[in-house]
Amino acid sequence: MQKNYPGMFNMTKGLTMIAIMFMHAVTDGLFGYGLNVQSAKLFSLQFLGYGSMAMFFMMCGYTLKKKSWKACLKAQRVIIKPYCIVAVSVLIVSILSVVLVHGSFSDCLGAIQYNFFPYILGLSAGTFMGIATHGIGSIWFFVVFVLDTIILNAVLRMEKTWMQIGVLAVMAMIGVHIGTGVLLPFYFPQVLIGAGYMYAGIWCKKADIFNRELPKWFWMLLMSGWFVMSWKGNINMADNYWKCGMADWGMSFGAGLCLLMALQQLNRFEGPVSERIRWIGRHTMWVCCIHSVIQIAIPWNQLLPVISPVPVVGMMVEFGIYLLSSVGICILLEKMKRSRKRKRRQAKIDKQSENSQ
Amino acid sequence: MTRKEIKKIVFQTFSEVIADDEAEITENSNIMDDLDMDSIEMQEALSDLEDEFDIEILDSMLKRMITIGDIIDVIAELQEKAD
Repeated sequence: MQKNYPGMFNMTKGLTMIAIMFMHAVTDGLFGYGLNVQSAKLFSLQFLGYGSMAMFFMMCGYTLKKKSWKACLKAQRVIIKPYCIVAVSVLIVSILSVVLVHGSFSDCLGAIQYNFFPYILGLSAGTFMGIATHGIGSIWFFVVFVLDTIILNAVLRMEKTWMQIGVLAVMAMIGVHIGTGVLLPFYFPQVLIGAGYMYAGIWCKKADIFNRELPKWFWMLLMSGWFVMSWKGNINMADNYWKCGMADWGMSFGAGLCLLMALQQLNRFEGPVSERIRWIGRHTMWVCCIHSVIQIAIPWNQLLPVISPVPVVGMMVEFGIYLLSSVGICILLEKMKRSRKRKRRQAKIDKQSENSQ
Repeated sequence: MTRKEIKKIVFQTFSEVIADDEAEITENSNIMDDLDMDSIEMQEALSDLEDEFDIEILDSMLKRMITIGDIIDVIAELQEKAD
């Protein structure tokens, strides 16, 4: 039996981060080569994608607890800081790329408006008040996570469990009802919907789900629901698309739980490959940030046909670039951080020894 | 570095990351259950400890870290190896 320990989800997080980069390479590739996205949709991808977002939120909710407001708000700086770094990096790379192709001042303004403006209001891709935006890419999850953590800190203060569930269900209903048509700041509909998933994560911990055996019929039921609903329904949480409305939301809990359980089974593997995947999992936040900058700042649509005329080769090259550059830059940043801290510590020791002499 | 000194730094690091005046940290505190920390704060605390002691905590070692006392033991072990 596995006990709860810090980093228990590293393997799952690492694998899903790799899957996210792969999926982004596929979708970028489909657009880059002008292929029809719908025709390329595979049931296996839809099946896995159905529970993936619920699983992410449940993982985040697993360690969530009611905190004092001061501690709750202070904890959010860990997410807000990388969000700001990504925004500034996208701004710099966007301006640089315009300058490199000898763009005019208005081109620079256009790039800032298209790439940087969405970070100020936390917008997804689309048109907001007449302004076309690229969206904040994969770090939309950070925005939703921060706001949901604050919302849940309030919800958990309610005395009765039925009140907590009721509020979260109503929030989800509103979020699902908003749908894909409206672009709202700070991923408002997704925030309303995601809180329920995170709350489910809290209950997974309370029920000690990873350390106890649940009846087989329970899993069979969840699996069947997952299979049927991923066939009949469809979820794209980033775009707030819920084909079967609340039925999709309700059934995705089971799908997310099954997916999380299945991926956690891989946590038993040891070895150099597992250790590397866990490393990615441990540094998911920064890997995701770097990936987000590379995805937004580089015009993959124009670049892919130049890389290779064969779509599959182009997508695989893009995936390789995503993976290697994100992990490589993350390793580099870690080393730089370590060396800076080491120098600072050495300077402190030297100063102390000087003072003692 | 003695275990007592390691303990002092570990306690200080965790209380800085938790940033909750009411939080009580003991050697027996279960990291996942007793401390008001989410996964990112845990990662931050471990990263700070790695920097503080100039060690690398491998993921395979994380499985042993159930309580604060376990963390102190692992760091003491790693320091001993480094010496």
